[in-house]
Amino acid sequence: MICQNCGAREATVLVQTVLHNHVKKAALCGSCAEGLHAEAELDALTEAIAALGARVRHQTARCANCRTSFANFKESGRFGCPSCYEHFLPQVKDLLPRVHAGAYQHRGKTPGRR
Amino acid sequence: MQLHNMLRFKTAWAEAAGPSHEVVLSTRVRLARNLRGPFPGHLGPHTLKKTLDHAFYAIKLAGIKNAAFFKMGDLDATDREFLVERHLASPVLAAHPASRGVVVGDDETIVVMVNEEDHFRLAALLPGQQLHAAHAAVDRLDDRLSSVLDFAFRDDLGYLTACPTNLGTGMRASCLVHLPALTMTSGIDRVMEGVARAGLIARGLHGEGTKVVGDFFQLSNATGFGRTEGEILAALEKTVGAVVAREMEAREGLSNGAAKVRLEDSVHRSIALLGAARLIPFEECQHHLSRLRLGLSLGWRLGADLAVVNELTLSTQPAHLDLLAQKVLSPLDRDALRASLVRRRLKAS
Repeated sequence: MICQNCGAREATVLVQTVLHNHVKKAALCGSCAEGLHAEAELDALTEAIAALGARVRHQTARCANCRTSFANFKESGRFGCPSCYEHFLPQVKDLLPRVHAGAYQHRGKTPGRR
Repeated sequence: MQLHNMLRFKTAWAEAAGPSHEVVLSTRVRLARNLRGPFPGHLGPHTLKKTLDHAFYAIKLAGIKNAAFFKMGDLDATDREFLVERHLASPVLAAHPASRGVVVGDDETIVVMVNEEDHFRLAALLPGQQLHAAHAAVDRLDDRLSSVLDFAFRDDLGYLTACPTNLGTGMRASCLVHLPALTMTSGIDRVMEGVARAGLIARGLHGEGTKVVGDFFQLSNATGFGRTEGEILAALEKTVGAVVAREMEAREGLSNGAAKVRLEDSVHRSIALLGAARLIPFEECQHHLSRLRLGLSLGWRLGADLAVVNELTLSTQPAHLDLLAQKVLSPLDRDALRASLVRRRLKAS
């Protein structure tokens, strides 16, 4: 079977994800499946970003450190550097509960503290 | 093809050991960590290289037992693919080798990928269901690296990562489970839907179409933000435990009454084929190894052992065979070498 994503290589991985209670299956090649978690999450991420909609202001402003704009982030789903999180903090805080099952505060390990 | 020697190394995570190893082949826990500068995707070639050198230096200071340092750019395509097949590098790292690196240590139970999507991807791999032990091992490495590096972190957001989906603990824990009985009894879809509804991600390894060849599935947490590492591990442990129980029930059902002779027939056909074939394609090989693995894990005396089957599951992959032959084989030659390797190893065991 041919990869359902690139349509070129042989499918070697069956991927199953759930988005909004809907189970999605896809047969992918190794390269396409590599971004499996990323893909599944990116779907959720893209939806979450879209849901931010008009609430996102200052879309032209760029991170002072790496010059990433929010439009760049929307396109790639990736920030350019850790400072992006400070620069886009209001948007990030809106986004997180949508991507992380309602969570808005880190509760795990803190470096140097047990 | 420099990694030929690694074929002789012990792959501790693929041993037939650890709790529930009849179903759970291995456990992996990885942590995503970043330095305070731009993420790898935003670095130019020069800075990317400097980051790799800096990272290797820090990892040497942190001290990983019997560590081997690989710059992906120094390896050819077969070596890189070999590391991917061995679960020691991601396909992204193999596809973009320049100034990317991997450090492998402690019988392949500790791996650090450098300059993947994040600066550091630390992982511990152990055989069987060892979520807590694997987390403890990678956590210790994280502590040692944190003493020489300043990782990007905020109290409210946790560890900062290139993609916000990895934010927080930066942790992804997964178990590679072998579910032949659930696959044979068609119980797999319901179980996988349950897994997905429990907030986990399930993927089949070596699948083709809607059927997963080799019956291996990887179960992992979908999010690592807003919960402690302990909570994430406990949730995954609970679901993996439930999947193992369902698989064991299905195995019980298949090895009793009228179903037993059918399963025996299927397992012995696989053994006969593995012991006689002169050409075996990858998918067919994985399928029959899966049947043999099922028979062995039911305690049947089949003249082989789980350790050899686990080893063959890894060593019959394409790049492993190319490394063994020390050349890039044609598909036909690869199928022939695979068949001869399987016959030899099963006969010896």
